[in-house]
Amino acid sequence: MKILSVKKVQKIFGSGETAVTAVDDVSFEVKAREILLIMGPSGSGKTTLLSMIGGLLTPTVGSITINGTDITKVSRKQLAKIRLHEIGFVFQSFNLLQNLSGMENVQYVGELAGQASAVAKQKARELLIKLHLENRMHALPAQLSGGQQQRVSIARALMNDPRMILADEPTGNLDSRSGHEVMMLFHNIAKEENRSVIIVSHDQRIKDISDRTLWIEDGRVHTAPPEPQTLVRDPVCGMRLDPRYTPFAKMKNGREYKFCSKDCLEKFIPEK
Amino acid sequence: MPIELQSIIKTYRMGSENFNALDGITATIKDGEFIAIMGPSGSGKSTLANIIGGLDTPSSGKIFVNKEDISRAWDRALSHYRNKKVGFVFQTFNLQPHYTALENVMLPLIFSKVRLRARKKKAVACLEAVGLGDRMKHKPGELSGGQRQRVSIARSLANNPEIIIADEPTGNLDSKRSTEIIALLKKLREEKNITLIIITHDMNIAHQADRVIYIQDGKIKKAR
Repeated sequence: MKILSVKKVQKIFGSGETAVTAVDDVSFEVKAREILLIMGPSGSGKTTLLSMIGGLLTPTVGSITINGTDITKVSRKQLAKIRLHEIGFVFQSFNLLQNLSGMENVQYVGELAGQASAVAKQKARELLIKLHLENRMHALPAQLSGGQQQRVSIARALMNDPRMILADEPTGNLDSRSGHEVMMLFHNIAKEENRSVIIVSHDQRIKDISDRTLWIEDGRVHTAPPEPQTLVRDPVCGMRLDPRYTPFAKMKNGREYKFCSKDCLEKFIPEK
Repeated sequence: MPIELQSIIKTYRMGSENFNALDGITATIKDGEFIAIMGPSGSGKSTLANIIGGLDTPSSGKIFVNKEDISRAWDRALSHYRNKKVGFVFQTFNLQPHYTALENVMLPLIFSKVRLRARKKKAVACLEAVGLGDRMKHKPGELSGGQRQRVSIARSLANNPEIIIADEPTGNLDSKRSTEIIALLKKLREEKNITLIIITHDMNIAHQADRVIYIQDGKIKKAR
């Protein structure tokens, strides 16, 4: 069953001589139970594409159909409704409200969608238990590890039972173990719960769980990604990385080190 | 609300060793005062701000807010303090990109038992107070960095806080926007008699504060 259909989408920022084509003639479909990974260099247009799918940006040309509704043709109000009910968002920096507990951060999304407080509370509790946060649900974000915060944000994304999850660099701030846990969660969300999962990332590991990779460069889709260069190793967690596409790097003693995440970069202590 | 910190220690476990992020902080902040907290990265500034704001609890020591000890407050009392008395502003704005400015400001009011219409009215007033009356229907992606920080300041005002804690509020802004944001925070502080606590690396901001608390290795190095 088709959940998402992107047809001949183009996005141009600015006009006249300063116009920039960020996304150019992109078409693809995503079915239920499918995990699509979107990869490409920085500035290639992948986040712009994801923002359009999530209804945060309107394409200049083309259509985006979610569950049968073309979201480029609906009113602002209808779009907000689709965003709330059909799409769950997961971000690199978690985006949790710091003064609310994990439980409250999940619960409010249900209340915004019109659920009674007690119903939303029960649903939030069930989701957090399912994501193994039963002992931490009343903790504040500052009291949780990065991996735990990302699990809260995944629970929040699932709160209104959306057909589609959009994740922008969901492992970018996590060490390799937490990153792996988060990937397995996405896998289950798609395969066991019948949802579509679309992930924008430079993290090569996500290929292991994705069904397809869409490679974007200069705003256009290329069917096959270029052959990887010699992979380098993250000196902290040992993960293998394509040196061209990881934004986390540090020069030390004349040598450049690459990292899978901000977390690994911060933990790095070079050998003397 | 006066705040009194007595011998605050916060210990984290790093591998097999214990590490004191805060190592015996004693200080008093007067009602309505503007305090800048400075210090190198990793010195404990943000941990201190989180503890003052009730986002975290100390391992030992006491914090009196309005003569009430919040370091021993149980969850419900602490959450009441955090949600009714304190407003937080963060360097990265921490806004939800798929909601409008108005919805972002309304979010924290969900748990305040205020009806929807009243929540909206309050959020509109807060956005007007930060000069964004004409940008309420915009999403964060459609706003500049300075405007996004104004939205997050409006959100911090929604519960009528008595204390605003801003952690590097200008860290992602150019110098013109920084000046505007600090001017706005100072204006709100004067109008509403709010205690303002800003964590910053910026000497220009520190110079405008009533007092500066300088922290190094979890201890107060000096205070002006």
